[in-house]
Amino acid sequence: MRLNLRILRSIIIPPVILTLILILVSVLVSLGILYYTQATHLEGDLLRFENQFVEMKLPKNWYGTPMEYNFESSGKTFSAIIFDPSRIVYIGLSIFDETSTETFLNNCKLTDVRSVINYEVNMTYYEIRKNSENATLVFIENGTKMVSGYEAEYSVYKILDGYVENDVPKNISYMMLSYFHNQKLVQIAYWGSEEYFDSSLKEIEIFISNLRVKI
Amino acid sequence: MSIEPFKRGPIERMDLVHTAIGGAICFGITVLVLDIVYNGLPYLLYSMNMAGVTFFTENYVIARAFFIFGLVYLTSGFCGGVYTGYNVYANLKMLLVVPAMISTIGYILLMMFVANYPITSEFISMVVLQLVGNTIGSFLGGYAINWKFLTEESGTKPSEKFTLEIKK
Repeated sequence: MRLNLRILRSIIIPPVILTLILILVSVLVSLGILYYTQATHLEGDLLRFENQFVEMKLPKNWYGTPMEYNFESSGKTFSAIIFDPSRIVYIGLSIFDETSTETFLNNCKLTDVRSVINYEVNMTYYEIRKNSENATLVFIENGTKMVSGYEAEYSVYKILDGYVENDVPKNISYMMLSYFHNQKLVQIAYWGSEEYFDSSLKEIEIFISNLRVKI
Repeated sequence: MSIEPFKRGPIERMDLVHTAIGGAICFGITVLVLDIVYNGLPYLLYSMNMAGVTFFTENYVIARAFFIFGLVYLTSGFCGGVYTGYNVYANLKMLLVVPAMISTIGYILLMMFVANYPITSEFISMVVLQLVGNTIGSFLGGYAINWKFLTEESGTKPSEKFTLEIKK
């Protein structure tokens, strides 16, 4: 017992205590900042995010990354991606200003909302085929939906054998919404594993109903 | 003639070798633990039901820097400092900076030439943070391992130091 106390006394010395305090303080400050961030943006079970492009709410336990691009020649673009790691479903949002919309449409030789949706779907399918050669694109439905007070067109597709999980090929469900407002393009993509896609439609409905595009 | 820790004296070749090994320990622990902590923070946030804060990039980057500073840079610096402090006696006050420098330079080279990471303001601030964290950790480690000699040198026993006398 005396020996243990001796060892303990030789370990609990000011430099060690100071090191532990510094580690503890930096971890607590880090978690404090994150708690403060959550507390100041929390509205029910959603986190409110606002910038010059958009006002939106995202589920509080989904990961997310916003990105802003600002080039004089090609205009401003705001993109965001949020995803639920437990169900592998993603929501992507892109908002273009006038210049970037024009650049995008000219570069990709697109004319209207339908051509934008088809282009994005084909690009996604092309990217998926790089990893899954047997992937097949299957059209499900077209329709319209109100987004931020504007009528957006949407298409739903399935990509059969889109990815492999535990040596089992799985299907991807993919929904693409898009609309123009004053020559500014807004795109919302929603995709994920087929088995979770339908059960997550509630989240996309909540996301869309809370979305306010500001530009 | 024996040299006590932190006293000035000639720098021998073995001192430099041990300092370099201390730097290698510091660098190795930084590389090993940094990835775990960097990727572990989102998992921790998810388990705390607050993964959504990752969307608020500015605050998240600052919080992550604090998290990494404490758990990675201070800890790795401390380990490098303990090794160096245990094996090197002369000029410790000066030599304890070296493991932190080796670790930081090693990390910069690793990121630039192996990972091809671009030099951004975030990268520079992380490097500065690493240098500060490793240096503080290294000194604390070096002092911790030689604490017995330092307290004996001052001529007072720690128990006497903290005795309170009540004046009547």
